[in-house]
Amino acid sequence: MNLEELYGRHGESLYRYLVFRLGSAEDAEDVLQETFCRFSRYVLRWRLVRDPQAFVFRVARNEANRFLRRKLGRREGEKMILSGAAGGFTAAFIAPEDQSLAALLRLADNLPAEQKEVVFLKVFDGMTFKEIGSVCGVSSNTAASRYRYGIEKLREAVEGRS
Amino acid sequence: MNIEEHDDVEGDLKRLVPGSVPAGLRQRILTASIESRKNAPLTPWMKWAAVTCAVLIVFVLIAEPLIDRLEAIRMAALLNAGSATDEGGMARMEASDLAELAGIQGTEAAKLIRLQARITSAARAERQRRFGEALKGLRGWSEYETSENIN
Repeated sequence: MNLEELYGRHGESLYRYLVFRLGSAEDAEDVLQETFCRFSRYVLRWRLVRDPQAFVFRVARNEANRFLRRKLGRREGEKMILSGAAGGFTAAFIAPEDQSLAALLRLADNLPAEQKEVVFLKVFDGMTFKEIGSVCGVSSNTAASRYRYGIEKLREAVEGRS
Repeated sequence: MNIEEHDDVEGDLKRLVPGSVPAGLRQRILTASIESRKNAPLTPWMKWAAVTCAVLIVFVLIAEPLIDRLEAIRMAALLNAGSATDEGGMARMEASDLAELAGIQGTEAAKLIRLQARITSAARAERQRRFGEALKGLRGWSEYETSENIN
């Protein structure tokens, strides 16, 4: 796999995803570098990959989790990974001037970690539920129901505000 | 945009603008990953070779016991000629045929069958003894004779 081509296709969306996961642009940059170093060592594995997009996101996700465990220690890192408290929508997006959009951003950040991630991957990276399932290590049905619950919660929260 | 006017939450989320990517990120990432590839302990072709060797080793490890077992079965068949049981069966069959032909029945026929079986087993023991002696002789031959003075 040509690294330049790979970066052209997925580099920026991976960076955004890592900022979303880690909540820091510097950490995201470090992890993205680690991720691409890992890709550069994969030769045989690329031949077995059926869905490159899901694969690169999965590798980046694993790398981000390793980074959190290294940075915070195993136990705290695990807690952070499960809670998804390190990152969020506010870290990955520019604060909108529109008050209602800003409110929506905050509401999205209050979603449970697993729903937040599925909503992010679906809405901003246009992944299918099968791909999201591969990235998060769950079935496509679980990914779909997490998305449905997440969007439903957001809709209820928005309606509650109005 | 007003949220109250739009029910489509997904559409609203899509309107969020992602943070910008730092300048020069692409170059930094690519340079680092190319460096990492250069410093990798195994080059891609070495990896191919390593995988091929690993597959061959696994194949040999699996195949060797199977070949050994087949060889042992073949040797056992050659040495014993599978004759022990066959001979007994043949002896019983011949004795019973003989008894039937001679018109002998009951305990006399049973005696004849037992006698035949004894003769057969004695012959087998004698063959084994001779085979053992021949082996001993061969061992001695290989210990005291060299290939130069065979003749």
